[in-house]
Amino acid sequence: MQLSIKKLGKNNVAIIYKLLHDSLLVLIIFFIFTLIAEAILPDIIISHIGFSKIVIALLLNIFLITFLAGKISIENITQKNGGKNKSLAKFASPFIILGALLLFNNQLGLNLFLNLFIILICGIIGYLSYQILFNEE
Amino acid sequence: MLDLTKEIKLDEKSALRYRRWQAFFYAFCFASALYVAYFIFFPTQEFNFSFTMLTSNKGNAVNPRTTEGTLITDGKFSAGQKNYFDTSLVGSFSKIKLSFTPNRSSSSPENTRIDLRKSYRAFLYPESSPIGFKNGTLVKHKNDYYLISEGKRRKFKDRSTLFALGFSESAFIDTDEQDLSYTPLDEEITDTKIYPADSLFKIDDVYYRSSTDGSLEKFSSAGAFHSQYEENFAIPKNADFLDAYAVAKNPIGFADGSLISYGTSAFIVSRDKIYPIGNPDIFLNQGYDWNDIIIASSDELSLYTKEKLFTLTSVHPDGTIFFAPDTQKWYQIENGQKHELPSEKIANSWLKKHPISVLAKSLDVLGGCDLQKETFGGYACLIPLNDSEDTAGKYYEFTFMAKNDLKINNLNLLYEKNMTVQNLKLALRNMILRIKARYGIQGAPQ
Repeated sequence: MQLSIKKLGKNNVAIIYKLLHDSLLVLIIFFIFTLIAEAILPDIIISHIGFSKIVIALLLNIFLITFLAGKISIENITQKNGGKNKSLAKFASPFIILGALLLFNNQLGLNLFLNLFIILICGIIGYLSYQILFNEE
Repeated sequence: MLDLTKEIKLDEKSALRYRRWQAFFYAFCFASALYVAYFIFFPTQEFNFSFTMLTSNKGNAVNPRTTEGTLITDGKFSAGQKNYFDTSLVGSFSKIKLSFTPNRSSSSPENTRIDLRKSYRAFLYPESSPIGFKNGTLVKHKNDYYLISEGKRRKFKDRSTLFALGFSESAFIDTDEQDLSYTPLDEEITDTKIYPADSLFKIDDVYYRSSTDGSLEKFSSAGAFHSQYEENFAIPKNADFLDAYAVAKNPIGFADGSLISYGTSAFIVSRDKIYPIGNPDIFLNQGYDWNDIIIASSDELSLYTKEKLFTLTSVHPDGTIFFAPDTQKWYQIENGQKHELPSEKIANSWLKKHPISVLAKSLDVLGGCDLQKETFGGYACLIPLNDSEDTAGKYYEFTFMAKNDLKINNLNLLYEKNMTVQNLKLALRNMILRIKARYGIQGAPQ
């Protein structure tokens, strides 16, 4: 594997690494689109492409990005992206809203207030879990 | 152009290569999206039956069988013997491709004719003798008044007997001799003290029916009574009337073929069984009407044995009534047979809900094709489906008679949709209707 990477050349590895990011973006968009479409009209996508295939493709893509990240030549990297990262809250907010909408949609048959209550409880549990698992202090 | 990894620097030549690959990749994704959209808007449905690997057939509904209904699992089809296979599916399709893969040792199935009928499965049952009025029905012809009791027609001796027993003259349905002829005549009603079997009573808003042993059977609810009879069939009585009769332990439930609901579940009633309906799509595609649902109590539900899920491939149970608008005929399903209800009045005596509408022409062959050799091994043919859409019913029954003894390895059915603007519009319309139905928006199919 090490030899194959060397054979590819540093620029080719960088190109593949960049293309993998493009494919990850496409896969994430497709995954979110599938979630929304399935929530509105069940079976519309997964009767043609199973969720497992999409998830496996996503995981494989992430694995390859992680693998290639360590192989990229240092001269290809101009700057660390740490400083440019948006805050987690800004990044996570669209996903939290989407998650809440999907959860609400999933419980359409329930009483409105019970539905909202369940979403609130899920939100609290999610927040507390995050605090416990990822808070460094 | 979009660059998600600006921190990764490339020399000019590599950057150009990346741009080219990126453009190719996004073009590929766009083409893939169109391909997925094509399958969403013009879906195909495939059914396969492998005679060489029977375990792979689980969940598939091809069901190859003989006229007697015996499942064919060895792939052997005898010459001159009629064979059947079937599928049930929702959606409008333009054509069906039927493919037979014969065993090497088999003779050729070339030019074997395959015919298609599309209907409801139970509607394709063989037709048996017609049925007359339902027990408990009150009918009259000229000056003769009858009660249908135990499958027979019992004439009241005279009007005074009828009044003495408490029957209301207005409750009797005026009919003709032809309709009466389907119910054999029995002993005359002369006694004004003893009620014949199948007389109906209403006591303190509770409904009863007299049984053959002289006792009374109580209806489980007013809903159960009205699923079987008209309100005016019941003779109003005071509570002391019950002193003279024993009341049977088990109450009478809903009419066979009734739709009942409990919570969010809907069931079809047949005899002492209830069939839970899989989902709203199955409910609609099996021809039922939301307005026919009767809300049942938990006590009423406990009167029945719950059967396995009623799906698109399920047969309508006993008591189901079909109406063919093209011939204006009614049919009732009983014990694997279809009995005609010879007139609207007879049908109405059984029917207190909407019948399941299906065209009588669905009993005829709607299409067919002759198997032809394909370039790569198998034999196949196409059946166009243009005429079969309006018949109602989602059950496709195929019949064929092999000219020679055949040994088939694989049987495949592919339902396809032509890529036309009309089909695209239809697909979009169906999607909108399904979304409306899912969210309970007005205008959704009921």
